[in-house]
Amino acid sequence: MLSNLITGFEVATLGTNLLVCLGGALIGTFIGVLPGLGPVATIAMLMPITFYLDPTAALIMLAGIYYGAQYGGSTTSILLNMPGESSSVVTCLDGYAMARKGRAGAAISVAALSSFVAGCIGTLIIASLSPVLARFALVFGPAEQFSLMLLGLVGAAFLASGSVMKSLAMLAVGLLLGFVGMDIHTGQQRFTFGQVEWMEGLPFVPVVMGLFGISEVIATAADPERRGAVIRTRFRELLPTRDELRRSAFPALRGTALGSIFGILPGTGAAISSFASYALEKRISRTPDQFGTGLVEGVSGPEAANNAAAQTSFIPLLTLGIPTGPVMALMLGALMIHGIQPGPMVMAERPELVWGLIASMWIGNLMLLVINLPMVGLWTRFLAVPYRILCPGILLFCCIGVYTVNGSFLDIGVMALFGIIGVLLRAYDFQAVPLILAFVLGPQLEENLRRALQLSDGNPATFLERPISLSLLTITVALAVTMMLPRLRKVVEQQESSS
Amino acid sequence: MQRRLLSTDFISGVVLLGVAATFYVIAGNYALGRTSQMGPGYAPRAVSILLAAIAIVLMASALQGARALPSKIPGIQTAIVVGSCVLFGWLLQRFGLFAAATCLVVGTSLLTGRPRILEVVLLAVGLSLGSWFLFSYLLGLPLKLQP
Repeated sequence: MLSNLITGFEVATLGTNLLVCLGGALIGTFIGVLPGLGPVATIAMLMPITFYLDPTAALIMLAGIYYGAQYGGSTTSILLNMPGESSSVVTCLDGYAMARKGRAGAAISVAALSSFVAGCIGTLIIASLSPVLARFALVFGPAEQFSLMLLGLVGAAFLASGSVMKSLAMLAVGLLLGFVGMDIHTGQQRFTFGQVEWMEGLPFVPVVMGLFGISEVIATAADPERRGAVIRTRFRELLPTRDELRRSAFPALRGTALGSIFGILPGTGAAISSFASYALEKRISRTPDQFGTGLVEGVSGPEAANNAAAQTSFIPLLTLGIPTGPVMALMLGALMIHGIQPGPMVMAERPELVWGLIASMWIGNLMLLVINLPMVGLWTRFLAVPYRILCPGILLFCCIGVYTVNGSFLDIGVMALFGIIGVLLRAYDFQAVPLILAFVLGPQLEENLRRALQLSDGNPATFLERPISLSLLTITVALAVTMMLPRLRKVVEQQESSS
Repeated sequence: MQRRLLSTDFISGVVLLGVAATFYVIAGNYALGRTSQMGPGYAPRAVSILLAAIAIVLMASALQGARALPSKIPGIQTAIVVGSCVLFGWLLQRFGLFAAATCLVVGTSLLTGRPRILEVVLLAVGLSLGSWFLFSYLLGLPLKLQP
């Protein structure tokens, strides 16, 4: 592990990689603090500019954008009571309350410090756990791969918020969209409508940019409440008091532990872990009734938890090729555009990529702490920029970004179409996340299913006869049943009370 | 009853059923193959059937009790944003980046009420030059600049 980490740090501290790491973190923060744009929208928007880098640098930059955007998201939660995404919803509760008491700077620093601590521990966990998991996954055949992906998809659908049926429907739609393109076995073109550009599948960047970027812009433009008033912060106010630091230490460590576990599991790891951490701190606190009035514990715990989860969610992606959430689905998509298929083989074949990324995560977290934190005054000034000025810039960036990937007008059309779909999904209470996960994993899911059934001569029992596959499927079913049960009970109760 | 038919679950069930049917019919043109040797039409048909089943469950459950109505769709904003993007792409190919970026800025200025002329002009100039500098000059991407 040590020699691997050293290799990683050698790669990560190369001039260009250091530069893209810093650049990613700064741009990510910049976009992340803009109203209504969370990490997913930020990564979707900025993905095209990473295509001109080599894969390692691109991945490092995307990861930098990710923590930058998350950091930006917690800043807006504290200053504006406006979470950029679900994982910083909890930060609003006590963070915004602290800001109203005049401790905005301290809340931001505590959030950044807790995230940094969680990031350091998270990096160590990735470094020690990834090789083990990758070695385990090396023996996976097509049947195991299929069951694993099924677990990833179904798990994400069941653990996501909202209606299970709707999440499952989104999974199916995502799988169908994933079929677009040429069938690699027969050369048959599927659902391409004669478009040569779609032979290799529906273009990934326009789809995510439409679903997450464009629809986000429309939602923000339509809802003036999403652009709030800013609480001013000065650098002098950034320093937390000794008492605040002391009180945040243990919540941060407990949050890290929770986040590290949740991050590896499929579903919205970062969000669940920050809620869990807040609940835990409230439960063990001696003054639970003061939560929500600006307790520093309510900031440090959840912030550490969501950052730890953000880090450890790279483990299933890098070792198994399974994205556990929307951000990891975007990472997987970006890697595949670079011609890299994440999974156990990448660990062995491209150690510089994996370990460079792991080391750069730590460096990125450090950069956020020492470079971004003093700039908080500047970032909040961006928040004050009116949306009518920001909006054209964001859209222009999306359009040029999408266009330049393939120099294709059709791609802008696809982006526009998925922008409309994104708006409709929002209005009808659907989550776009299962769709994008299934869209990314769909082609591999089909390929593994075909290969597994080819090997077993068409006998579907192969998925149950192989022990690893069987246990993965058992977990999938158990997860589905446990998540369905409380809902079933609720439905039954509703029926009884209404009749 | 009408409220149930207009609920989010029922309407989305109908739409999803339509999506499933479309994919199923198109996939009918592709060879089905056997389970041991799946053709290109096998998995799409299977997933279409799955989606249709989910859609029917959604519709059935919507009829069981009062369900939420869809929230308002921001039609005007959607039209402006989507229209500006498509127009941008079309103009970019024919008249180049500067014309396209200017039109995009003018188009989106309609998003937030009354546009301020001077602001829109400055923004159009600034963003055109900025995007030229970033994408064309710094990243060296092949972008048509003028007609």
